[in-house]
Amino acid sequence: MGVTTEKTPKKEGVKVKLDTKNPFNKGVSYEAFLKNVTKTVTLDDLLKKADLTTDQIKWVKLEIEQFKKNKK
Amino acid sequence: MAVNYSGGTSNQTELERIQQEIYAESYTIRDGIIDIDQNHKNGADVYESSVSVTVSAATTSGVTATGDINMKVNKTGVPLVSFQYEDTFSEKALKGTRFERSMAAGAFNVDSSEFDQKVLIQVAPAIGEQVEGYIWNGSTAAQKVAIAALAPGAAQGSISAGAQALVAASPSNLFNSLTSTILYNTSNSKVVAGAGLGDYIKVPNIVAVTQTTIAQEYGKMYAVAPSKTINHTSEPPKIYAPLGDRQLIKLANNSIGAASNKNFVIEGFGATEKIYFNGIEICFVPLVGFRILSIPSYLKLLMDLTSDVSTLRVGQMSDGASDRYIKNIQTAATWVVGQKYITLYGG
Repeated sequence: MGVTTEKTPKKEGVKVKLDTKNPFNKGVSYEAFLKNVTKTVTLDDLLKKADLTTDQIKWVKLEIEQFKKNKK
Repeated sequence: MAVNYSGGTSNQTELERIQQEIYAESYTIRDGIIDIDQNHKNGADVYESSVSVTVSAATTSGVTATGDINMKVNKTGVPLVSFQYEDTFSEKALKGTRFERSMAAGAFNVDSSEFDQKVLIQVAPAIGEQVEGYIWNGSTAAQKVAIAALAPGAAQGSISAGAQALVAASPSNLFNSLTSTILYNTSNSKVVAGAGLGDYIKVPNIVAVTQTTIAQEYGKMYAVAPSKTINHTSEPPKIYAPLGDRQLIKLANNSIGAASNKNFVIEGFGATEKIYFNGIEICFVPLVGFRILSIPSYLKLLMDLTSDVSTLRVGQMSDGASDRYIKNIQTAATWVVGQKYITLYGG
């Protein structure tokens, strides 16, 4: 099951769920996206399901690799 | 008759020319490839304005307050930083060398006019090269911390992990480079005013820029740039690229084989050479990893005087010392306006 972050727009006062399973969704950080990786759901699974192009997948994988390096 | 001589030999001639180091030229200030604004001592207020309008059906009644015409103006204070290059020096170590010949008579006099003309003269271009680098690459320690603390992501409106790595690896300077300011600034003109991520457009799905990829990578930057920027004919945008891109572009343009395709237009030669990609002039500057597509005046260098870069004060030390001092002081800051129209490759 994926992790979602909730945003509350002030005007409407309605909670909008942010889909963190697609890293290209506005407002989705790599940290939030990677929380969807579980023992049974791999990074590749998520990227495949997100319906991304080959170039997008290649780049995001490099980015996530860099993100993990930056955190060390 | 035999010649008997002892005492060793010495060279009786020398090359007149003393070979100098090469210093990268300060194109940014010399050619004014961005907006350079002078006469600021401590800080400068930068104003940005915009107007948005909404149309409505025409009526014959009197005008009422509709809120249909919204005129916005805001101000951001930009602090400038002063920095210096200074040292003391004595030329007494030059006694017994070719420079001794240009020292004035008298034991007190150890200053060589030839040394001043041929070696000391290089201090200004060495400073110029370094400052040119600071304008495009590097951040203050505090700025590095702020950029590292941003939450990276793939979508527009978030910094890339690659950009954070480039900033972390860049030099720690006394003022922020343009790239650093684009990435993070305190502008009140952003969508979210105040300290935080810049409103720049980033280029997704990038790969390492090489001879074989440079055209496609420039293509990605061009494609994602706002069409208003590309169509800004009153002040056409420019691409600011690392110095090394000039070589990659020429290698790419002159590649041999079926895949050869001249994607870049190269006009002129040497100092007058101009290179274009899709009609946009490329300016080569000491960027590292990043490339910028922007309207030139949206990138700003604020200074006290641009001539400060090459102004050296050289003089005799006090109290009868034969040593001399050398000092250069400058004041500068970088700034960006119209951030949503700036495309940052690598951001």
